[in-house]
Amino acid sequence: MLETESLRKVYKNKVAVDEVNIYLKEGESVGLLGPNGAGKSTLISMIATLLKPSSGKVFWEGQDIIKNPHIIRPTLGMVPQEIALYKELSAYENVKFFGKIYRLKGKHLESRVQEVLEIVGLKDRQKELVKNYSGGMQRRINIAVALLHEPDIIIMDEPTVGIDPQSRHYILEMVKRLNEEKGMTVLYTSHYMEEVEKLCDRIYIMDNGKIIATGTKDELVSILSSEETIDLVLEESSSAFEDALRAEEHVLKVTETEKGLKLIVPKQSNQLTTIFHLAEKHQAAIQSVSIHVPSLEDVFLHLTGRKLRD
Amino acid sequence: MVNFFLKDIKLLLRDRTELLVIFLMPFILMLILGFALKGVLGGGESTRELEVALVEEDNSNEGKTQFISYLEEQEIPTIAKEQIIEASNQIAIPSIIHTILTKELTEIVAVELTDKEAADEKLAAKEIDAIITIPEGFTYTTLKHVLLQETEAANLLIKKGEHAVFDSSIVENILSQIAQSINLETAIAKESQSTEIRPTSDEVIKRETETITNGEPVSSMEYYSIGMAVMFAFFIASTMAAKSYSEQTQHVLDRIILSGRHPLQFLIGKLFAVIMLVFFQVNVLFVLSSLIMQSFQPISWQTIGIMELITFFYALAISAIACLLIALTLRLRSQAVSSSFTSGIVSVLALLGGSFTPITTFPEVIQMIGSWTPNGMTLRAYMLASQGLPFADIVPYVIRLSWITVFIFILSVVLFPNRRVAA
Ligand SMILES: Nc1ncnc2c1ncn2[C@@H]1O[C@H](COP(=O)(O)OP(=O)(O)OP(=O)(O)O)[C@@H](O)[C@H]1O
Ligand SMILES: [Mg+2]
Repeated sequence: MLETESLRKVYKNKVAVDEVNIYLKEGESVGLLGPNGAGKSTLISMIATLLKPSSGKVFWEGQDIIKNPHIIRPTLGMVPQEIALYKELSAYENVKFFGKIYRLKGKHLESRVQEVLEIVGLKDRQKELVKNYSGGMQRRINIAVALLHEPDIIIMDEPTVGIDPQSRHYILEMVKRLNEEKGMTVLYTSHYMEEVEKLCDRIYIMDNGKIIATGTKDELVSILSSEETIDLVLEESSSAFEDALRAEEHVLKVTETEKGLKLIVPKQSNQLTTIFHLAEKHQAAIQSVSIHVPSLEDVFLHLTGRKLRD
Repeated sequence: MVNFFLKDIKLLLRDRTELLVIFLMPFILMLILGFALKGVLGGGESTRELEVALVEEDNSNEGKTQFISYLEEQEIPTIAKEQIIEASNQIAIPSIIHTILTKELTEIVAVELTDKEAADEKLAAKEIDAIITIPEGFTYTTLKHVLLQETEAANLLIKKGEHAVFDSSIVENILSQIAQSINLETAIAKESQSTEIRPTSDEVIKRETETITNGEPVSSMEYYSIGMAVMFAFFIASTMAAKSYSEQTQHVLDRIILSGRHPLQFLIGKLFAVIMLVFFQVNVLFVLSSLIMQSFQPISWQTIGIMELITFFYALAISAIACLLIALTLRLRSQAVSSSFTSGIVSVLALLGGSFTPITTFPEVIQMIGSWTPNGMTLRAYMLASQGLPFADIVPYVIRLSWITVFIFILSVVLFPNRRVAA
């Protein structure tokens, strides 16, 4: 239903989006995962016809929407990363204003306004000015506006950024319901691994403007299926120990974490003896060791050598 | 469109600081400038001289002879006639006026005696500010008025140059001095003839003031009401541009575009908001000024109508400027457009247009430029209207203003980034 073809956006001397090909099937819930500056917002803006690509195409049901943006616009709900609302107006006034410019009228408008306020759970507090809302409530109104005209596809750009876990949970549940009950197609951008894991059928991982991996959660994790992760918590970091580990043939990857190191090793290779041996040799005190199957987070780490969030 | 308009008005009404700037500031500034710079426009304490030409069209002796022969025909006791004739001989009316202007009011006026043609030429060349004419028959009428209490008081003609802006009090001052002197001399003359002194009104003379055509002089409060009105309207334009900028950066504009609305609707909504706000703003200022400072009074319905019409055309011009600012702001994605307008361009325009001080004090070239600024020509139009001039005299200004408005509109539509305002 939606497809991009070698989509590319270049700012002066920075390639923000580089030859991206993604697609969404009807009713699908797709996650776009990437660290800050990966190019997620830029990609999404091009899909939403708000930004002209440097090259490449976007198709909506087979039609080129770069040339004819009006084809997708009426069926598209966009939740921008910013709170795109009038802060000096109340939630009700905001939703109503956008309803009017979407040409909803009279009773239908009023009932739609109340419906979306209900969906985002702010029906009781709709008369308050948006600027007096908490961050989480503002985010919810930001979503409500995108739902007004009953779009077929909703594109959400980090809709949970900077809010408390409770509001996050609420929003996630809400999106899940929209997808499952109303069959709305969802493109969900985030740098929270848990969110896309929970919400999305399929995931694209983006870094430095490129899609570096794609698949269902299981498929992505299976990239690392022949490996396992060892988390070491150290008393204090030791570069000698780290270097020694890197030199080790069977340790595939070493990355620093907050409290110690994360190692990726082949499954069942039983590297623990070697690790303890090296630790002793370089006088690094190990506090704890844990071995587990890789998570999406680990996949990302593996693919980019960086963590999703700093 | 209506929705956009209503939204813009609602947003502005909730912005308290902005409201104060737009509606209260001009009034406060008007008061400050009006009081502080009273001198600039003349007024009692003025240090600036008024250059005046005195034209005598009256022949004093002829007037007296005429008066005496008139008196002879009246049925009054001969003794009384003789006394009145005696008294009339003691009153030399043109010389009273002459003396007052050249000896007593030297602080305020500089007078030269010329003939009519020379005076008109000088007025046209802006060498003098006004012409005071003692019209034919002045002596005759005045004598009849003060000695016989017959006929109306005589008219002293004051013709004020269009370029000259001075307080009406300065004229009052001159006239009342002249009137007092005539009264005094009459009283003395009658006294010496031991006729009973009849009460004489202060109004021994009347005046007829005119600008190039007829009109009341403008007081400093009036002047600055107009000056501040034309200046502060600009701030509505820049406020709207600033608001558009935040709508763009906060991506509200993206939403509007995605709704399938043509971006020009967004612009037109703003345009109507500006027209309405300017109209409201100017009226608030003029009404306050009129109620509290007695500006523009007395005023006729016709003058009010003409002034509202000017306001309407000026509101259109300001909405065009707003459109230009909005188009540039959105195109450049920059707040610098509205902020540089507010902090710099408005001041320059206001200065050139004469909002702070009448531009007649500026060099010729600057006066020329000033008269071509939208605010400058509107200020002029308001001034003429408030002096009671008919609409026909104001039409040229309105037409010139409309041309500028149309030009700016076209320019802003060309510059408006239609297709992808948000991109
Ligand atoms: N208008 C612009 N001009 C120049 N560079 C830009 C512009 N917009 C984005 N970029 C650059 O393009 C890159 C991608 O930005 P983008 O906002 O798409 O990232 P993102 O994945 O959405 O990041 P975040 O998670 O922080 O929202 C960044 O390096 C950014 O600096
Ligand atoms: Mg982003």
